[in-house]
Amino acid sequence: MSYDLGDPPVLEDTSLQMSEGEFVALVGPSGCGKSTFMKLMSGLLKADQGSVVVADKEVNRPLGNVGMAFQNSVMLPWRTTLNNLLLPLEIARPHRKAFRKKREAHVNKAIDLLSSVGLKGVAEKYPWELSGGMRQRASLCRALIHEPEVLMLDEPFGALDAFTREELWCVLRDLWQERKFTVLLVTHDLIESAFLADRVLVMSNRPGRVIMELKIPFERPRNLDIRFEKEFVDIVHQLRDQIRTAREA
Amino acid sequence: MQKRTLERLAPWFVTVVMFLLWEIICRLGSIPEYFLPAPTVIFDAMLTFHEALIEDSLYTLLSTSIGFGIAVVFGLLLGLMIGWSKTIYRGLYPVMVGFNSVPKVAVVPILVLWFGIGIVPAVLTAFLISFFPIVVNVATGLATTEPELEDVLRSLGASKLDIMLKVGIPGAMPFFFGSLKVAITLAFVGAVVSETVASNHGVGHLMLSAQANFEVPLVFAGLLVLAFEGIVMYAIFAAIEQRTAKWAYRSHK
Repeated sequence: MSYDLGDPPVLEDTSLQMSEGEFVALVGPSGCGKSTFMKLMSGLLKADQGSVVVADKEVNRPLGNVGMAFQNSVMLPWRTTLNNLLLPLEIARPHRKAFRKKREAHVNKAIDLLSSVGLKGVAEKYPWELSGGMRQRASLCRALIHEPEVLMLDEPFGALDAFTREELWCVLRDLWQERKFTVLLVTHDLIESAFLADRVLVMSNRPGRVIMELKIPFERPRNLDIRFEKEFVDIVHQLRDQIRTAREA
Repeated sequence: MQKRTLERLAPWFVTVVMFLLWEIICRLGSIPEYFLPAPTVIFDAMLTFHEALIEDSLYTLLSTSIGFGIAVVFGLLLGLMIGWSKTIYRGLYPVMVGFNSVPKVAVVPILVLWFGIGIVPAVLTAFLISFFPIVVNVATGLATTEPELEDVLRSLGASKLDIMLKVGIPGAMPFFFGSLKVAITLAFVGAVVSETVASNHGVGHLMLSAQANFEVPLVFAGLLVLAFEGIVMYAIFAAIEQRTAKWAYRSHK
């Protein structure tokens, strides 16, 4: 795929194949087109050359059943946390048709999901009454509530403090372990990518290209302490070296 | 706590001091009544002419309210249309700015020509002068939808209408209600301007006839009544604004 937006193009000859239930992380220097790549994958943008194919069908409009979360939690400030969570069910097919009828079931599901990420009793609170970490958890819940097949995460933990971030890594790890959705995680945190993903892709400076692909061999579920083991550190070093060359190039 | 009370009393304090200064300047400078009457003289005129003042201010209030009501409906619809489509925005904006730039006093004679002297020109002037800020604010509110939020919704398969209903319109509400308090005072100005130029009723008309009869204190009494009504209406819509979009004022608690 290519995506042109003036000179130099944002992306050039980038390609990626993902299988169902795979967790792929995309890392690279800032401004290299990681987010653009993610938007192309989800059909929010159209590639100038090339195409996205999901389940043998070419994608030419937004995929529809995707969950998304960003660095900024983008909640609707006039809705309670619970109603923010219900938003995808009001919109995504096939839920939207029966939304009113099944509202009670949905509410229970949302409350369960909230408590599974450590957010008990905040359902009736407004997003601006929550802390940044809590909002980010809620935003993750919103991305998952309609049980999407694909989860697109654009630096979802970028704005959090180190402890909250580690905690949320584990939250995501456990959710994934349980449901096995397909994830594309855009991040600039190499440890995060190696800890969570099956496969890490390194992108170059603009025009963005995938310059390295690394399988992460560790067994799942992974423990946070794995970060301090030698093999893990080696992988992170390898990624770091690649990025350094990418930035200098 | 003390600072709070002080904050609360400040507007009353300033108003009282203003009137006191006014009174003192008039008395000490022995300024003639026909030039600038002292507040006490004006209040006296208010008492004397209270029947006419009440009747006329109610009339002005009526034409203001009707004009404002039309402006709210029309402004909201137009604002939504402009926020909906870039083409509509591009097409309508220059014309609207042009309309808004025309001084409304200049339009009143035309309205009188079309509809005769009466309540209609006042209503229409109130409408014409007050719909623009509503349109602009609603359109701006829609334009400030967070792009990431739009991405989230589009990736769920949301249509443009979905995004408008779930995010655009609720998000634009603080802008809309914020514009109402500006629009209501403008509508009031429009109604009075029209009454001053051509009407047999209303505070504007009252002031004009008082001036013709050299009843200068009554002219000022009319001004004070207008200012008072303006403050009340502004306060009402400011309160409505605070209530309807509480989330937008969370930091001002």
